[in-house]
Amino acid sequence: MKTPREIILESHRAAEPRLDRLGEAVLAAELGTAHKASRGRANPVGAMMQKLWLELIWPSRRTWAGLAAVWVVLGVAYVTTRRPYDPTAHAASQQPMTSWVEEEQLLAQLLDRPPSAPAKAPAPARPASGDGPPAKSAQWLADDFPRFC
Amino acid sequence: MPPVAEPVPLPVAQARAGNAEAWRVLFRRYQLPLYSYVHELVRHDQTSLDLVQETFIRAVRHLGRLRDDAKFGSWLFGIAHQQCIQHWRRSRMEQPFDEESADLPDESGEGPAELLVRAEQAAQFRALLAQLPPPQRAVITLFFLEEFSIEEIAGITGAPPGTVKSRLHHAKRTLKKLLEHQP
Repeated sequence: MKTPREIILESHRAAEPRLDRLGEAVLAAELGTAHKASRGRANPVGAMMQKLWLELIWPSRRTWAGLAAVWVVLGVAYVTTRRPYDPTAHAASQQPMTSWVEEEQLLAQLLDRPPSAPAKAPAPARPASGDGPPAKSAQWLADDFPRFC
Repeated sequence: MPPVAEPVPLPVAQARAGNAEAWRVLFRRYQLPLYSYVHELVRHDQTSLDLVQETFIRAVRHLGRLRDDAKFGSWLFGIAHQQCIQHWRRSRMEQPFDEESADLPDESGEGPAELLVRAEQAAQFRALLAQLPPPQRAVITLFFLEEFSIEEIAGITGAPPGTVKSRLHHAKRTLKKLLEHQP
């Protein structure tokens, strides 16, 4: 004859090795200790990783696995749909700028103005009272002054 | 009947002081009964291991709140029970501990030995235990495993003592009846 306690415990006896490991893992994570037989001294990095694993990853492992799967799918989709570099696409993107310059020139002709010079890199800053050549805006005013009069 | 109570007091005070060896002693003493109890409720190996692990983590963190060291066992089972409840809530399962029963005569004077089972009937006994409703299964498993008193089981499960008596009565009666009809 057996007591109910004996029957219940015997039926779960196979889980004991896993329970031993589980207890050691909890102690390592919570008390920063490790079993002397398996580890010579406490490894703080390992204990921290184990703590992170136990508290952050393991309780929500299905969520983490789902996120990882989504990232894998996104990565595969990116690799499979990525096209090689197309130089014609780059030229096409410059087309609006070219047409804008042409329109500027046409407008200048209609207004009887000299076409504006192509854009230059900005000149380095200089003092307002410097000895250099006059500023471009001043030159433009001097050229157009007779028309305003 | 083999003795269940420990002749040597458990090193709860040392564990509270952070002694890892004391915790090992406590874990080894309770890990299998605790796992058995949780498994009887959730019926899943890996989930049971997870819940026992969470119980141990909470025990290490909150042992300072335990007032009476002699109640360490029921305190630990209470944490495990709460973990099972939270597991049911997380998995959106219907919580099987809501039903209430009427009070019935107190049979707490009878020990688990009154229900001795023949060795060849062990498998049937486990199957019959699994057939009990979860509230009755929880109460009778705690009674069988650790011989907790009605008050202790009430503290673990959060049910009133009268309800615990009723569940224990129903569970014992059902098991006896079913075992009598087994070949």
